[in-house]
Amino acid sequence: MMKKHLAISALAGWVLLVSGFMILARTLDLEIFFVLWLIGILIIVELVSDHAATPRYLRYQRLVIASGVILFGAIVARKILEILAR
Amino acid sequence: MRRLPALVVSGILVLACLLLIGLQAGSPLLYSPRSDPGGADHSNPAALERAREDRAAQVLPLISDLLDSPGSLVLNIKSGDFEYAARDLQEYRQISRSLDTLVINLDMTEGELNEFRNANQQNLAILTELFNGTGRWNELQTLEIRYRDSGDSQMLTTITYEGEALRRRIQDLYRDYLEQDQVMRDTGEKFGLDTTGYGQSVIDFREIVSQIDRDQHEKMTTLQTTGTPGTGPYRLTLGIDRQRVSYMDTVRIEGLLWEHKKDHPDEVDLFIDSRKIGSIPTKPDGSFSYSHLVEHDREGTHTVFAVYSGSVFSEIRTFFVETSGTSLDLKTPSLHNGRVAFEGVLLAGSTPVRFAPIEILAEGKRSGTARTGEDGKFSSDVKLSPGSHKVHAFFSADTSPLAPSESATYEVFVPEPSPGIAGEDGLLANPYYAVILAASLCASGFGAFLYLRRQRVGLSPPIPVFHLPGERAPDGADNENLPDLDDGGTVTGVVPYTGEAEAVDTVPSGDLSSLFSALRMAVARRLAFLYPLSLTPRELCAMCRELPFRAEVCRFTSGYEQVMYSGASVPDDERDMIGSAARSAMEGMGGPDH
Amino acid sequence: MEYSRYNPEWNGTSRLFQEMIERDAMMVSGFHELPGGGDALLLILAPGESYAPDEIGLLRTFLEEGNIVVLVSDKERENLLISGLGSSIRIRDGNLTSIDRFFDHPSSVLAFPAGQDPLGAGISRIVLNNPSSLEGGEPVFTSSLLSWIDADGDSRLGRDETLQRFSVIAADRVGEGVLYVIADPSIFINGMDAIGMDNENYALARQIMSARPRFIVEQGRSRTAYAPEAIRVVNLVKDSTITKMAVITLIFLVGSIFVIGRWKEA
Repeated sequence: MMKKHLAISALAGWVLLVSGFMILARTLDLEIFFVLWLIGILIIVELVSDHAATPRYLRYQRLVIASGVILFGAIVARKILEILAR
Repeated sequence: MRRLPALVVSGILVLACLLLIGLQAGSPLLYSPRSDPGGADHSNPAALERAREDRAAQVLPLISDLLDSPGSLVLNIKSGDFEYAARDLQEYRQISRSLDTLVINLDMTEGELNEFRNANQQNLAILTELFNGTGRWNELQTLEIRYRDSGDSQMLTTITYEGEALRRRIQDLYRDYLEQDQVMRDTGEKFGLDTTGYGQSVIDFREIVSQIDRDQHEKMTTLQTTGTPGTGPYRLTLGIDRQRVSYMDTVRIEGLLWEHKKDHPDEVDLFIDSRKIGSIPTKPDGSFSYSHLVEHDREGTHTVFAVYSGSVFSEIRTFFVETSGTSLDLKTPSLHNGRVAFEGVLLAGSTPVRFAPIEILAEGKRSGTARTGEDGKFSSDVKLSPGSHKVHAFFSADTSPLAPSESATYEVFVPEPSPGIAGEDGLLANPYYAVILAASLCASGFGAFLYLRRQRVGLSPPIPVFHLPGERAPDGADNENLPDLDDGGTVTGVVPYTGEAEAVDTVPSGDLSSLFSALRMAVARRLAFLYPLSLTPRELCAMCRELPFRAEVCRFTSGYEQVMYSGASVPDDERDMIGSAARSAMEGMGGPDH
Repeated sequence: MEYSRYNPEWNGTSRLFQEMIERDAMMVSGFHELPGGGDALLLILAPGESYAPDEIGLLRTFLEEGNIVVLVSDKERENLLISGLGSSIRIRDGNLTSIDRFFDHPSSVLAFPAGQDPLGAGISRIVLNNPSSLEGGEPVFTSSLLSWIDADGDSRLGRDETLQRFSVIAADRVGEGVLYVIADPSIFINGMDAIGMDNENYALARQIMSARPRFIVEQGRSRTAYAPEAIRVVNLVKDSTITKMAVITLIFLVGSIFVIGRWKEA
């Protein structure tokens, strides 16, 4: 099995699972969805790239994840402000 | 071509994700009990909070107590048990206070229960004053006996006059008490409660009033017949221009001191409701006048008399203060900065009511206060919770002869304060928010930096895998020409000289070991093997068994093994031979494949 | 969807119907199916449409034979049915509100037994949910005295709103039989199950179910009969814990296979 496709399928499966559960729970929250996607992609990237080598197709993935982390920070800030404003 | 099915599967998965999300995209928050409060038929119990169950059960006993309390209180006042009466009054006040709390808690600040509460509050005030008044009345009785015995006719007159003021006040109280009667009895009957106690209190009250009436009448008669100093025509006379007055009217009190020495300035003390309001200088002809502005006088009869030098009394005059209706105009509330601004004016007829307390009520609950100015105008900024509110202003005066009034009700909508990033205004308005946002972004930025950094530690510059030592440095194109089939196993970065390479101390064997590394990489790459660093020379040889250049690879590895592990020194020509085997293996790999 | 027996959500009646089925309730889709004998109780829960005159006639015959009919509705439309049955009870679709409430919401009115009717025996009170009120008949359950019809919809006692007791369950003798009218079908929705100290609403439901040897449920016009196919599928997934557990197990299984596969490869 090719690692790249495994990774893509795993991520897609994960996202599908998350959205499926969200729909079952009838709470579709974009922020939670984003955070769960971020967690998923982090884990998958960590699994795919071992300590020795990172596949070429994952080279720019790091940037995606890094920007995801920043976005995550923004979400956290938003949540804090929402709670404070209450 | 095996990529195609995988691509199709991934595509379907992605599309399915998008579809599922897209189905619900219109209403992002699909379900929570609160978002589904139910329709016209029912509301969702899961979204509701439990009510404190006992509070409604308190209402009836409380009303029953409040109907009973005046009975024993008035009875005790009538029979002169002031100690008991004081205790009754204390209890009565406490129960009334619990009713106030309950009515507010139950959000019943309008309607029948509130009418009952208002009537009850009036009663409490009336009975408190009755208690104090009768207490004073009894004091006056005692004093009267003392002064009569000591023959102090001046003091006797004073207290008799005070008694007269008290009598009129208590009469007024009784009249007010009767006004509450209807509401109290109706409520009691509606709730199926016994109102006989309350009825008895009215009867007892009347008896108190008639008792005081009789006593006072007697006293006034004796006072007049036994003769005060200078009876007959008063040596001091008093007149009031208007008998009935209302808010902001002026009562003009004029009098004449008959026993007046010409050109000798005198002063007359003026009493309203037995309270001295001032000393008024007389004019040369002995006349004096005083204008009393009706502002903080309660509704009812007020007594006026004047005293000269503590011994000459005028007769008692009275004036009656009538309650005037008020109108409270509230302008349409305006909204700014999340606060609601109220403005309005309070008038009694056409007269502005000054310095009056105004309450701003939202859903019947007090949410702000204001005070009118000299011109009757008031304004107030009130912070209301987000959402829709029904607001109105309310005026109720205790001390002025003014009827309570209420403004029209307005519906105001307070928008949800825009939280966080959404509202830049709110964000910048509060420096805390900006700080929190900045701190959070910094933290996440730092986190992202660390993440990238950590990855980079693992990514030392890729070694020139396919270039043997001594050969020219790789040009960029060479690297691009490498098998870049993109089928899962392509390796960009490799951790090079780990322990293995460092173990080699001699230069020649170091040379060989880098040759081995290079070859191992090349083979691994060719076979799409994921972990080239774990390969031993023999494994490398075994891996190549299906490749055309197997012989060269195996020749190199066996030679390499010998050089590295035998410990014996190897002649240079043998080294060259091993090296050339490796080189030819590399060439074999590079050749037919490209 | 609302009141549907296939709806396990808070606004369905799946739990009530589960109990009915356990008690071998007879479901009828029209009044012509009603049995004779005079030993039955017919429950008409939340009718969705009005009944035709001939249906009302059938029901009246059934009632006069000595059976019990329990009509549960908060719609004034049913007054036609009630008057057709020869009863003086009328439904008044007002916004009944009370201080005696179970939840901190004006619609959550508590009602207490009044009179000695067997239907209310042993039940201390019931929790209503946006009830209407009743006029006429013999009151069986009434709201407390601190109740009013919230005409202006502000949930508060207004100046023109008077406090009084309102009847929410009333009984009326028709011929040999008894007609009960309950002014709020919402008392039997799933969300109202297990509410109160002894789950009084369902105690009332059980009392109704066992009042007569035969228990019949009308399923022709009742909104409880509403059953789209989709809802059954959803039920299957949502209503059973086993399915949920299976899904979770499957997820973990797939996850561990993935991880183990990776680990082996390494």
